[in-house]
Amino acid sequence: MLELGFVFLFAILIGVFTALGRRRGARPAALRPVEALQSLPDTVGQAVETGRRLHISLGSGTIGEMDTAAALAGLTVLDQISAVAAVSDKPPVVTTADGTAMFLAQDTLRNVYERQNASQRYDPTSARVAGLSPMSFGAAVTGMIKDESVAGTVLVGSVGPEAVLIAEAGSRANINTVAGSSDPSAQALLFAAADNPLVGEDLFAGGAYIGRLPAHIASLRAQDVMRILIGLAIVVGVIAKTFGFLP
Amino acid sequence: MKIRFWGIILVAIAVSAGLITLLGYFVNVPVLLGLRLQFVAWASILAAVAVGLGALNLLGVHLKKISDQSGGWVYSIFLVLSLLGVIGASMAAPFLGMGSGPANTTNAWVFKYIVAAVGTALSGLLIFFLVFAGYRLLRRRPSVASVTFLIVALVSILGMAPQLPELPDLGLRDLWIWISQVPAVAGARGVLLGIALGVIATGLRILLAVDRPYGE
Repeated sequence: MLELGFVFLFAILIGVFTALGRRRGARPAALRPVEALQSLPDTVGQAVETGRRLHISLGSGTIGEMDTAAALAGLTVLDQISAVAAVSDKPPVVTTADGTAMFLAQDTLRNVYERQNASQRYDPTSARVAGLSPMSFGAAVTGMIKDESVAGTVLVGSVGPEAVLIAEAGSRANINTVAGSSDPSAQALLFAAADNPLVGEDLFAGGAYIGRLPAHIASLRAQDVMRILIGLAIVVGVIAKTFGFLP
Repeated sequence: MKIRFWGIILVAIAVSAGLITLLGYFVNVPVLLGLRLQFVAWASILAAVAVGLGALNLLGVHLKKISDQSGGWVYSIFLVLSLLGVIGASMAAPFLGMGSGPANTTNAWVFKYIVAAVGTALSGLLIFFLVFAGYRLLRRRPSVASVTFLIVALVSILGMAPQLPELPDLGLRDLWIWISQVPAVAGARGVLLGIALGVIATGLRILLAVDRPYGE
């Protein structure tokens, strides 16, 4: 029941911070600078101005398994970015290695075009399965970045060592690569290989930084509170164990 | 109005299914446990269908590329031929006495001698990409973090390398063992904690119907 209490406390904190953020006269939230996310508007602007495509990748993870949340974070970023990038001559292209994530990406893109009253510009092949295994996905995206005149890559999702191939392709094409993964070892690789790596939980902060969505900002604050509580619990646990209060 | 009504129904179904599945993990009530298992089984079936549709999407994208003769279309021909060839061989396997099901001899051969071999070769290339990436990192983002990253990477590579008896012991192996067991584990746990909190927050936003990846 302790786990359920933890989840309920987290949900209550998100609700409280959302309500506080939406009340009248609430000051805009001050977020710590995340260089990778701050570079996104320039990359999107460059894609629109040069009439090239923006590439958004949800990684090689699978919806319905451990990677679900990372792919959903990628969908939030897709929704926010494609709303701006959709006015470009060439629509953004979305890649994934999972059929379910592909359907969600297609749905997100279709909604973006419908909101802009431009449904006729929606192309279902803009969201595609690049490869069905992690390495084939990485290899296929590498070729796509070169062949489809991509202006920038935003990779938010679960991705393994194949992330290096994608970041390297971006580097060779001289385009900005913003990339983050829920896999810590891939994060280390991306730190070296990507222009703008997303470290740790920055992967899940896209909605708060790009769209300034109140619920996303609230969930960032709730995460901070929970992190402090967990940190305190670890310190108290260590002290209790050291002095023999815990078995 | 019709769309809004269906939107509310979709949200109600998604939130209920999510809450029941979540409670099924934490509360020991047989009905909730049964419902959770049923929902997960349905999700697995849908995911399997989505894999098939994903393969069709892959085929469609590459057929369009061939028809438009857009960049890299020659590679698309190989992809389409390979895809159709593997499906055809897999379907013909039972009639040729090569076993049936996903583990038939044809599939096993393709995976062992083509997919695994090419995947391993590609993985082997990653180390070279990483060396170049490390060099570029110093030029692109010279900072305390990037210098630390490169020094630790160098110490790790040298520490893991076989020790030649002719060379003096500089203590690199001990340093690498300490780095991998103390600061690396501490840092990895910190990153994992942040990711776990992000995962829970993302899940809760969907359960609270704030984020709706299943439609407007």
